Amino acid sequence: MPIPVPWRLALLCVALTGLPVSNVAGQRPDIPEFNTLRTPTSPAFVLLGAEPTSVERPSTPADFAVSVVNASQNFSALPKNFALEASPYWLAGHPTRRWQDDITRNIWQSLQRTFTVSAGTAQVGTELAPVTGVAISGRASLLSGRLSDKTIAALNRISLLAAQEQADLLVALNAAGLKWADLLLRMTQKDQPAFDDYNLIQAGLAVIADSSQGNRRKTLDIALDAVGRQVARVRAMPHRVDSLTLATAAAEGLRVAFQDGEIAAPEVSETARTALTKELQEFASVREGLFVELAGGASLQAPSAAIDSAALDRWGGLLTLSYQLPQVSFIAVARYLDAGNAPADDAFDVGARVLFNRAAYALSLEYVDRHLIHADSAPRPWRLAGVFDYKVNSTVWLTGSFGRDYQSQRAGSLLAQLGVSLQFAKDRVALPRPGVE
Amino acid sequence: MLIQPFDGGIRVIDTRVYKVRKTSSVTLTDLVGDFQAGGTSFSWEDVIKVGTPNFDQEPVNPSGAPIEDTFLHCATKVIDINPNTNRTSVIYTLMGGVATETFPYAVQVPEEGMAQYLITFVFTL
Repeated sequence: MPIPVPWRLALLCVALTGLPVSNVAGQRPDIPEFNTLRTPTSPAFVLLGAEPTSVERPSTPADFAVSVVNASQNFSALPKNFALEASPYWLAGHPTRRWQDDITRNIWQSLQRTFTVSAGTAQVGTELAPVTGVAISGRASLLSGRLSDKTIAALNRISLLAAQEQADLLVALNAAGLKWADLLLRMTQKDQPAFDDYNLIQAGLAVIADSSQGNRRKTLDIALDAVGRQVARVRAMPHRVDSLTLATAAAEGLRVAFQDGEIAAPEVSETARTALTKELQEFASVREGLFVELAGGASLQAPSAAIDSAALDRWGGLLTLSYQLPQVSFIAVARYLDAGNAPADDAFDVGARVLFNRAAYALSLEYVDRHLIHADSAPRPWRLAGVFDYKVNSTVWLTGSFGRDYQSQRAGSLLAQLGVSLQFAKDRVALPRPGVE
Repeated sequence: MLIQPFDGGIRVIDTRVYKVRKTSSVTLTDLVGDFQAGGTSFSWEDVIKVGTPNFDQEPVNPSGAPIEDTFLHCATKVIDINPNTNRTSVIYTLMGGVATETFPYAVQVPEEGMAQYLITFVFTL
């Protein structure tokens, strides 16, 4: 059903509609766990009770607009099975902000840089009684620690190595023929076409100097053509004979370089590049210290996707305090859920978690006390769980958990799992293979 | 401006004019933005200077050295270490010529990729 025009803008601004977890008649919906104690990445999806198979994460305002327009069919209908997550601060560029400006954050900077909004829709109900649900949530950190000393030291090393590697590149560019390119440009009229061809010549020299792969031959051929055009410009201008001879020699030097695709000079140092590659493979950006995180969300249910019949169903809020040190973290959380049409599930949780981690293993212990607001159940439900992860080797982790869930009388309340995690992540930076075509 | 993809990143190549006077002493400042990590080096008249890792009003031509019709080659590598964005940016600022000018560049790279900026400044009267 099409969305009335006045509602479309409202949906864009504050789409506080919602949807409950799908449930078969006769079963009470489970209270969302909010992914145990950590603030879920997308509380909206938790309230929705759906794990989207794909989530759109636009990185620019244009991407965001396209996502919304496409999903809503140009604002003509509620999107179906749609999930989106966006951080407004990061949709825009920040060209005057260095990484050093993010070592610490004040409250406003923390809120700006951590605020994320997520929204999702899902089709629930039955074929005879379809229901569309929409949920929206937001999360942000009032405090988000500071970059660890180890991270700061690594970033300083990475930046210095990047600078040294560029110095090595400049040496290689000169060896490949940058001076010849400069000479030709110096002898032409300095207009945009000459600059464009000079850029193409530099692109060819960079491919040779940097041992780049990809469209190598094509880039060199384009550079060769650019040399020809540049020489024609030089010849079209009045020059002394010896200058023209010099220009011809420069052009010939460039042609040889581009036809061979090799540097006509001793090998340039690879030390900085190799060291930089190693640093990047080991790099991880870590923030430590005090974190205070807030999250909240709401879900609406719209039978037959009729916007006028949409009604608020569930909403919840979460406050997380944590203190993170290099090898230990302490987390405390308070969360509230209003379960809407199932008031017996309205709950207020308070919990804590401690996590130890080393290079080869991690241990954590978590306790959560639940207060069912409208139920007089005795004893009060509580959860206690221990989790461990052990690194068997670089790609295999052994993981296990043991404990009890909230209501010990309920089937499945014993937590006892053991499993294996296999990691197939790519290398962060491909090691260079100079000289290989 | 030319954009050239390479293994794991994007290369930006550009040539710009900066107006100077016969007696100008030009300085270079560069700023790697978007909370990314990066370093710059430059070469001018066979002299290569390595950034620490960037430059802040670094003299290009030693005092008295003629600068007209010479080229300043800047090379900056920016690595995407910011998990929140794949955007990279560099702002070059030249001072000491006819006027102070800034030359901003920005490009989006693959996830955890890098950008290489090769910018040539041509000094003319």
